[in-house]
Amino acid sequence: MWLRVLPRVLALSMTQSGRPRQAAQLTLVGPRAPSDEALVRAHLDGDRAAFGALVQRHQRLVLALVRRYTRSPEESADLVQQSFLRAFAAAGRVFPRMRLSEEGAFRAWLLRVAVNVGKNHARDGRRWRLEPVEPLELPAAEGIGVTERLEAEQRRQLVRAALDALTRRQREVFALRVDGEMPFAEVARTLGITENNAKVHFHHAVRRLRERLGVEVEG
Amino acid sequence: MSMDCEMLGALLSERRRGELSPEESRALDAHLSGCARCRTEASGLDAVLAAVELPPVSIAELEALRSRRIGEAPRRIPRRSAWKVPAVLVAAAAAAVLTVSIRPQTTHHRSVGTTPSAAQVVPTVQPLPDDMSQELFPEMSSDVNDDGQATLEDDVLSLEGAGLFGNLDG
Repeated sequence: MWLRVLPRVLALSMTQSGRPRQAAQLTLVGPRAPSDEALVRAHLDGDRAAFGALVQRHQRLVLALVRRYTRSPEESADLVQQSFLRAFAAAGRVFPRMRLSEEGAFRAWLLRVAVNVGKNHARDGRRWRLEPVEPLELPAAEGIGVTERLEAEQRRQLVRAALDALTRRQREVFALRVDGEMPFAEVARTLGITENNAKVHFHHAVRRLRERLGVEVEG
Repeated sequence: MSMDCEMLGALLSERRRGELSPEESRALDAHLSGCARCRTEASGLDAVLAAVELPPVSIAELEALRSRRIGEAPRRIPRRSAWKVPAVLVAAAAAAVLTVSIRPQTTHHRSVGTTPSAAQVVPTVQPLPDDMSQELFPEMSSDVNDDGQATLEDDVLSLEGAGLFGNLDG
């Protein structure tokens, strides 16, 4: 149901904002492509294409962040869609208060939404998933593969549990660096902190992960 | 403890990704050779970094994402017919009038020592306060489909009504 609602949300907000559609549209591609913050302003002004441009720009990164919390490509796509849906649903409340003069404000917020969507998904999965991790009726010839996949899934669950134990800042830095594959300078810019600060947070995140995963990764 | 000690995990991560220049890599080695604590810690942190890395994004993941067509211009959605809204409002108004018309009058002309009988209660038409209208017709503003269930579009509209989408003029 969530998956079908996004186009409707897009349409409703674009047509029922109470503001006449604006004829002027931003140029969304090319060397002089507008910043995220300009697109957010355009979206608030009723530009139909602006939010779609934000989606196009960031969906790969959002996918990179949420896939840690999923078990299949379909689930990952679900969470990407859910992240943007949530961002869009909150746009009216959040965007006007966002410091749009600060570069990266939108992206930092969106990525935070994505990490939260992933975390909630994993938490809900733990709460509701009662069946075995993988179906047991797989052919016997694939027995080794099933075992390996079970072990891999168990490792992923351990890592997710360890990530849950990090502070929010540590988790964000870790997610952008490891899952988003960003250089530390970009991590810092996204989160509005210094590069050294990002590196120190990352170091402490990895140390805490080692404390929780040490036996598994080294044994 | 130097600043490098506080960034050891980050430096190891950069080296894994080939982001350190040869000079920076040599500086890291020099630090490790001179700092027993970091030297001890480095292999464990490296093992963690290797263990937490995810495989690269697969073609299947990209295909699943592409199939969603997130953010593309939405199809034209068949909106509720234009007559529906006035029809609902007319029906609601008629229901309100009927409800009020059978509502007992609250101010009675009483004679001392007598109890008002049912015949003395004069029905009058008075407008209901808004809050009472809401009590009587909590569903007045929501649409239902043929099965009497709220539609998905109404969920969205109710969000809009709650202000989640309504701030765009601000």
